[in-house]
Amino acid sequence: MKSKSVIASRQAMGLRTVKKVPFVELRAGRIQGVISSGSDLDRVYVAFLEGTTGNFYCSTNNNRVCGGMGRDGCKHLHQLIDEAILQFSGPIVATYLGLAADAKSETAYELTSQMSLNMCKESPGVVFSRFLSYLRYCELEAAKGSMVEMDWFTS
Amino acid sequence: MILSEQIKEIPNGVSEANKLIDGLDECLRLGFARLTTEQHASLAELAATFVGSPLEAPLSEAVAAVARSEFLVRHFCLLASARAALQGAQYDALRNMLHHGLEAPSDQEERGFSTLPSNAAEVLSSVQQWLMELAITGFQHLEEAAVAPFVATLENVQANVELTGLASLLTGFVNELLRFMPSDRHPNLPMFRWSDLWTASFVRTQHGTVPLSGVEVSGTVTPLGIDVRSHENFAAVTVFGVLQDSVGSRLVRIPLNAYKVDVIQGSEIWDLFGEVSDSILKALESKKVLQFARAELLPNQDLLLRSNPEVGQAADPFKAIDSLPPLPALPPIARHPVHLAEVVLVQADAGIPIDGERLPSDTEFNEKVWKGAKQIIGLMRFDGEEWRLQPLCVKTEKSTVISGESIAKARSKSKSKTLATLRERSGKLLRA
Repeated sequence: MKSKSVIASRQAMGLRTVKKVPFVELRAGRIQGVISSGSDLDRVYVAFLEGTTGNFYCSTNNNRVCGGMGRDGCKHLHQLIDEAILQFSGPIVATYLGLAADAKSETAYELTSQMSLNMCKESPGVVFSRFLSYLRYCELEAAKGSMVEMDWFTS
Repeated sequence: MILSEQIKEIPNGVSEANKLIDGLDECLRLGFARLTTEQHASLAELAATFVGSPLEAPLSEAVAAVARSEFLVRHFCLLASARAALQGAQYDALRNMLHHGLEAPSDQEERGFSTLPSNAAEVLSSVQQWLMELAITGFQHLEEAAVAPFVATLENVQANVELTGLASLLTGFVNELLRFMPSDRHPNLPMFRWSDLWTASFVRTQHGTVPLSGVEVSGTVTPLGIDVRSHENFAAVTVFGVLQDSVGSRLVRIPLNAYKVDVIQGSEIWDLFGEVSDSILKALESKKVLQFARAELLPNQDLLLRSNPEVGQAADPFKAIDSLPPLPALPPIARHPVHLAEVVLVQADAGIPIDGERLPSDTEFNEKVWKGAKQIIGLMRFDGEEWRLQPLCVKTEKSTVISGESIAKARSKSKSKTLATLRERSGKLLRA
């Protein structure tokens, strides 16, 4: 690569909607994020799955355990992973979790069935505050005028 | 604005400057804690280049200090300044060469440095500290733990609207670094690019942007096309156009900026800019002018709309662009080849390679358009030691195709309301 300032951006990410899963990220070796409750508009679930340990958990933002959790996760965790696959692509999610790049990774079910999962209680605080920082971007004010600093980034 | 010669050559010194830059970038890759005699020699060579310039004494002092492993922020500021100065010289040489090729006079306007916001000293010092730590550790040896905690500082930069430029840059940089962590798993890191981002961030902790005061204008703008730049958390769109008012016609940029989240992309970016989006996209779709009253025109030719423009008469970009002087040079802090975006009109068979990297995946400029292309209005870009043309508008035998003309239709078809859904969420949760 000969002294390139701009590199072609990654393949366009799949378009996902934020209705069911408002927030998903790959962070600290985990898929983590926030899932809307199917029944209550004011409630959200916070879930994560860690790559190396297979640890996972799901609770509401008020720290109530998700009643649907079993040995292989819950529907929220599966929704979360499915959205991560849509957003980042299966191979990227698989490698991030420490699976082989060519591991089956089209659905949450395919991914989790290659891991040994392990329910591990954890407070939703950290992930939930990541979600609030994420939402902050929708409210931040930007200066007017040409933003030459964005010349390093393509569309 | 007509490119009368083919631009194939590169001015003297541009490649040589890149060799010096590569020497510094290798230090940034390895980490200043790990330098060997080979890198110290590169740094000495860099310092020698500045003999006779104002940077001579402080830079050679900084190089001597890092050779003794004396790592202080001011030494790294100087190394960043040296790298930025080399690229500033490249920008000037390239722009001058282009303007000899263009039938337009070159302007040599001097602009002063500005001061930074007075309440930002503490946060900028934290940014400098982090940038220095990156340099000491080296891009090749970064762990997530060296990057992720910086997000707290980053939020403070983002919160200061006067630092939007630095914030947009650092946010994109941090996002990109996090995608590559741990970096020793990646043999081919984009080193030149990361060193660019490191340098540009460092110099912006020392100098702000020059505050500009504009004049009020009313008239029409003939759109020439759009340039969309974005990363996960920021979108910047520039509508290039020709302003026509009582004074005459000249090239202008209508800039639109907004922070965003990663899921907002493609045509949904236009939801971020409010109601002006509808008018602009409609004008592009129907190839008409934008009519507006009492906008602010800054000396750098940024046109800031204060109210929603109306869509006016039919527009002909190829007629409008005829024999206009170029946009003014950027202020010294923004002189880097990546910022070259000179508006030109070229014949389609001029043989300038098209810059596909800067076009969106759903670009209007498809194979069919290129087959019939006669003339192109575009932005001359320079990267990887070659000139390329980013098309804004293409004239074919039968019609004119303008970048952004298909977005209005895409938006009206889409049912996705990402921004509205997230705003509703944040309304509930951030104020809960």
